[in-house]
Amino acid sequence: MEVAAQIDPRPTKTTAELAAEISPAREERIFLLLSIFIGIISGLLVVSFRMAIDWLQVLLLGTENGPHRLRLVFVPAAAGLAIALLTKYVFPQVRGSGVNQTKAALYISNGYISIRTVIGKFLLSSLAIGSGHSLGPEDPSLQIGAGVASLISRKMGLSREKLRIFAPVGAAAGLAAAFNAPISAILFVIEEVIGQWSAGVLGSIVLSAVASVVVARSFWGSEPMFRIPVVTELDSRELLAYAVLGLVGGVASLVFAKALGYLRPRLRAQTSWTLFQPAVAGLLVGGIGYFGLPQVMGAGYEAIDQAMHAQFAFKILILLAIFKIIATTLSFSSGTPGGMFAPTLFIGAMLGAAIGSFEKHYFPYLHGSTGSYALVGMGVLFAAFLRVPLTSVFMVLEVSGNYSVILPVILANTIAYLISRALQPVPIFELFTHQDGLYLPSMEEEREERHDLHFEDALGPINAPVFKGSETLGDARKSVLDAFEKTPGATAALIQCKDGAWYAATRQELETIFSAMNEETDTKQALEERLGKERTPTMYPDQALATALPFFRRWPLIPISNRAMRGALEGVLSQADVIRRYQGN
Amino acid sequence: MMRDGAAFLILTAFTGILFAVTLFLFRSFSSHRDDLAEEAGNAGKAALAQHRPHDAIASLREALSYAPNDRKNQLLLAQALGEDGHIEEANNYFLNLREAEPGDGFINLQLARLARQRRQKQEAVDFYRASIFGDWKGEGDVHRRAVRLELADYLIDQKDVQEAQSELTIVASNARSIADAGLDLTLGDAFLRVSDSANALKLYQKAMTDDPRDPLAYEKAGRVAYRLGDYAHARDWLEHGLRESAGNPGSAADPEGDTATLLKNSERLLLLSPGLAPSRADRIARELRNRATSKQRLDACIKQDAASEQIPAAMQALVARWTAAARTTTREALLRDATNEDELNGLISDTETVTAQICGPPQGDDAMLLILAQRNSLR
Repeated sequence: MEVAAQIDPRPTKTTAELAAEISPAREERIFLLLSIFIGIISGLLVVSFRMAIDWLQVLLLGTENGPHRLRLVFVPAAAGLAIALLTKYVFPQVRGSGVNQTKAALYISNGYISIRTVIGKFLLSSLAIGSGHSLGPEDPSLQIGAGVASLISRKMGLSREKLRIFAPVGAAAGLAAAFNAPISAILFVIEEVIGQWSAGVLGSIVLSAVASVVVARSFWGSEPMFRIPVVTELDSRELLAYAVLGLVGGVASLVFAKALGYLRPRLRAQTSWTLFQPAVAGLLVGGIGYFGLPQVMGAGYEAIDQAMHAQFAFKILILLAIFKIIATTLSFSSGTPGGMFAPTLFIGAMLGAAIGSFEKHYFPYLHGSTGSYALVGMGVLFAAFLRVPLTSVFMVLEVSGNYSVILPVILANTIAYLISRALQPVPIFELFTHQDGLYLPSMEEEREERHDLHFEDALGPINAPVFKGSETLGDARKSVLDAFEKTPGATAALIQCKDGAWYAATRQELETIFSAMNEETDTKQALEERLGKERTPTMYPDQALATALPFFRRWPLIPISNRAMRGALEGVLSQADVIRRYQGN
Repeated sequence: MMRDGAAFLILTAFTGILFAVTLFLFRSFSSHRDDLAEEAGNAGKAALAQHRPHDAIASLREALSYAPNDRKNQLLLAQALGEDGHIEEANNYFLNLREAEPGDGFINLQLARLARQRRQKQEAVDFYRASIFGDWKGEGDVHRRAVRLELADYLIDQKDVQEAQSELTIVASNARSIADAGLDLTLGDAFLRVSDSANALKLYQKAMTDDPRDPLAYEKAGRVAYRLGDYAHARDWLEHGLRESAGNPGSAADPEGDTATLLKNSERLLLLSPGLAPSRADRIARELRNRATSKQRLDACIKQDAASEQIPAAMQALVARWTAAARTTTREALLRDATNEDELNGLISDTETVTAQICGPPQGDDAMLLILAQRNSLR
């Protein structure tokens, strides 16, 4: 229950919050500027994080690439033991990938992530990945970014509301720097962490993501994460092969998710040997590397690159995909901190390249390059396993910089996503939170099952009396009194003013006007003049119903206008109508 | 306001310090990676030079894992992949490299060679042409000429003689002002492969001019002259070639080992060919001598064929023609009427051709007469 324990230790209302309440403009002023700082610092930390991984890889696993080296077995095992000890006694919050932990911080602890967690994530994830555990650096980068944001916003004394907003801002920055792909990072955070588009947050997320990518690129260069192969023009017949890739990717993601869903809770239940689980996982993953497939160790970017450039035979590609699933399941389920993104991309690339190689062998007249299939395969697994369909499409496009693969990407991703949804109803991140005893909002459900009500859903007929604002007070008094006499239950009336606007008046308000009327001077005055300049706001049927409630403090009714004909009413809305609609009546 | 200003100042200072520390670490990290990349790259290069492409691939991959954008190592790896038989991988690798530099002559050449191995003719030709018109770092002319020659060679292999001849003509034309006997010989050989003996001879002659001591140039020129029926030049050049070759033991003249025979034949053909006689009387003397040789060959062939029950019709026709020509092929008849000379030469030519078909390849002067007959030098 690492995330559940992350409870915000602050008092319910700090001095800073009180200050923020007094001066909300201050937070608005510094919000965007802070987003840039968060982006820059996250970017720098992610650069250091990647450096640490690479350094450790060279130091621990050596510079050679081949199998049959004993250190491949012993290094991940020893590192696993060290990680387990440090996790237990020094950094208890660092288990897991980082995505769920960030979500938990957002929804449970008001965006609070401790500095110790950030340091622990940095150190232990880099040790795990650098020593060959089959995990990736992206998700930890996301959490590191969120942690930086949390720390800075706390130090700046921001309100609770802003603290919560800053966690996804930092998450986007961390992920963007790790991926060198700002759009995908922004979309992922929106799709998986906050679950909705919000103009207020979007600006900050974009700023921080861009700032972090600029920092990362100033160190690593502007090259994309992978050397993208030549993407040849698509032959429409190849779409069939891409559909098969979607099918295979969907099934593979299902197997991967099932394996993790099965092993992870079982290993977590074995409390007596928790300390040895990462070591045993390291030993087994190292064994896979020792006996011939060292490519499955670590993040596996080089192997992805090689697969994209058709440097593996069909059988090896299939073996690599299978053993990567096994290795990642072992590493992740053992509680070793590290991410799922890189392994997902790895498996996708291998399966894609395998389909591409198969097509090249049996249908040589189709000219699609193996690299295109590997590229699409990465998106497929991303869509199906992580269940972020929009991010998956943009990720491929952003990483490849080539829009000619858009059709296959959309086709294959959709097929894989639908298969995964049908056969594994609970997305993997949600499954993990349930296994941890948490019930965070399901972003997939929020994305797809939200039923926002609109005015039109509660709209009622115009039963209130309607008058012309141009009527004189003398004439109006007569017609108003007649109308209220005819409809005794009516408590409000609608007055149509000259410019097409409406005024919703209470019966009492009108009666007050007529009683205060001077019979000699006021009878010729127009009713709308007497009502003053204020008018009931013009609202339309497609607007969100929730926005209506504040208006009932001032107005008895809300006239709902037609968007095509100014002044024409579609109906009216009363507070009772709104409440009835929300109660489901 | 003041508090926020101070906070941002601290944040800026912290960011600056963090940036400086990261930069310092990154530089140290990059420098170490560069060293590792260089070490592995050198090992890969050495392995490739020693024709150990498999080892080269491992080293170069390691080098590229440290410095992924090292173009030199990328090219070497692509080359090593090709040499190790990973044609598809090498092709993809080079295609990727070409994305960045579509006009690179070397990359296009490698792609052409790979397309050749993959039997993609049009692709290969396109890449060869892209390579010819591409960028070469230094000695562009030399590279372009070599690529064009390679393209011509490929086109010859593909039986596309006309295209190959066009490419060779361009090379020859561009190389006109270059005094390089080796190149002349290569070009001459290529022209011979497209059966363009005339251009081949021109280039061999140019080679003789460019390097008058090169026995190979003389030998090749003599050989082509012999083939073209220019026995006088053939004799001179072959003789010169052999002489130069004898004076230069290290030379590679007479690669086919028959230069001396060709020289002997040339000398003999010069004596037998009626057309090359210095005077009419001498020509008639040669014709009469050839008549005797050819008649003997016919008689011998009839005898040789006597075992069979029936003399072949072609032979019977020849016997009839010899009998009919008895009066028109005397010295007086030949001197009297030049038409009789033509008739006699035609009869000799047919006799040598038919007897060669029926009785097998002739020897001695009959063989020479057959050569003349085949070149229509007797008619």
